[in-house]
Amino acid sequence: MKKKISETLRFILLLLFIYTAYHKLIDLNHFESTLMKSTLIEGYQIKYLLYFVPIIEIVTILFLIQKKYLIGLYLSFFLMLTFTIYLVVLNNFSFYKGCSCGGIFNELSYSEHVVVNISLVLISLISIIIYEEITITAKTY
Amino acid sequence: MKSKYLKIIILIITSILLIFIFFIINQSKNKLKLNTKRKIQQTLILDKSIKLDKRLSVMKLYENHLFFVSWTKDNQGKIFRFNLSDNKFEKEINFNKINEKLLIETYFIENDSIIYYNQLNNSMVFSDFDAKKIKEVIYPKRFSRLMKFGDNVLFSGWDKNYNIFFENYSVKSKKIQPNKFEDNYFLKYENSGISLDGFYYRNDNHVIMLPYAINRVYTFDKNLKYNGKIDLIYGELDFKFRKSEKEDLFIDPSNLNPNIAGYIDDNDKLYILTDHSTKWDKSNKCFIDIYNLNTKKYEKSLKIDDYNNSKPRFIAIDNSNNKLYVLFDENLNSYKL
Repeated sequence: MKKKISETLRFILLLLFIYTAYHKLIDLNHFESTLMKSTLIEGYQIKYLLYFVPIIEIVTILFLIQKKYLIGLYLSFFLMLTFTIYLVVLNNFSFYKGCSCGGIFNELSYSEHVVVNISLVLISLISIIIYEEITITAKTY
Repeated sequence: MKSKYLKIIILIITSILLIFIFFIINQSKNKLKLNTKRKIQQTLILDKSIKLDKRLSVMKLYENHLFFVSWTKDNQGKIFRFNLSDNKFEKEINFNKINEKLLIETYFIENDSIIYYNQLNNSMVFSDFDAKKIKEVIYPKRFSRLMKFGDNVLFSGWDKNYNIFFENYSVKSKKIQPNKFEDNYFLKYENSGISLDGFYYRNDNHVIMLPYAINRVYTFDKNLKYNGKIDLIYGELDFKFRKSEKEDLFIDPSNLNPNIAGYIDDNDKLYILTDHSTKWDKSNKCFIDIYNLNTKKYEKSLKIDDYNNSKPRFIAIDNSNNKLYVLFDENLNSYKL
């Protein structure tokens, strides 16, 4: 049962990162214009983040599709948590949408986006806990 | 098991630290520094507050009524009027009856007629108060702002190099003439058409152009000819741009826009709603700085607090009743002056 939950949560995270990385890569200009409007990022940092963020998302996808996908779960947790903190800080100091996740995510209000993000942080966290429990149980037997 | 929680804690700390580092190293140093000490002479006393059912903009006072537009969905082709005698909104003037594709950016009320600027097709539409169209003038060139005074219209915007231009247009003769004048800010500020962009205000004697982000006001006479400038009480500010890899221009989000709105009253006093906030400190930072347009000198200031978590957005002064009207996001407030 736990294994099924773990697989489902991994699948949700995998879909999320494929979806957001795809949207960034097919419209890099849109992602760049979102970064351009951020008060938290200086102009010279944008050109690095523009490529670093999709690359780290692809790396996360690659780890999540492995048979042993624990690193992918940790990366998902770290990315989602960092993005959530970024959104919260940004909204407190400027009045623009800081998201470039694409598609349906662009339609979300700030509070809805934060709720979705927190849910995804929790999904990553629960996945890590369940995965580790399964691994320990498997080792015991 | 222990190492799992340790890893999670390390990741949480790293996330917080990462954003904190970005926040610290990218703090904007742009801040308003006063050249003249602000003379705050009175405390505003709230008279009435009216809860609004939609976000309104561009508040204007005309014959015991306050007029507004709304850029919210389904309201972009309407002008709203509020009767100051009974403190009630009257039926809106709905211009969508004659044209469904409307986005009223601004409007002017003259001799019981309304002239509105439809941003969607660059046109000025003359209409009566029943939304009946009298005539339409389409300006042949892209512009960003306009001010109508009698038969003349002052247009301003930016050219293909983003430099500012001012042009006068005669509604009667349909002639366009450049309104040429020099100012050191046109060279000092990069892409002056954008960095000096602002909004026009007028009374029966004066017209001013108040840039949103610069400590200077440009003044024009009744014929819309440039007749001088007023330096505001705070020092020069940076106005920066960012360029994308495709050389597209973006306004740096750390720029300040301290001049929220203005108003010229019947006594030729210019009121400028000034936002003194910074990235760190945002709430209750607004003042109304008052200048004399005849002497071009600063006189005094009023402190205006935020209301219902919103900054003041537009102001209007009713000299006959000594009242100040302030438009917030969700409220219309009146204060005794």
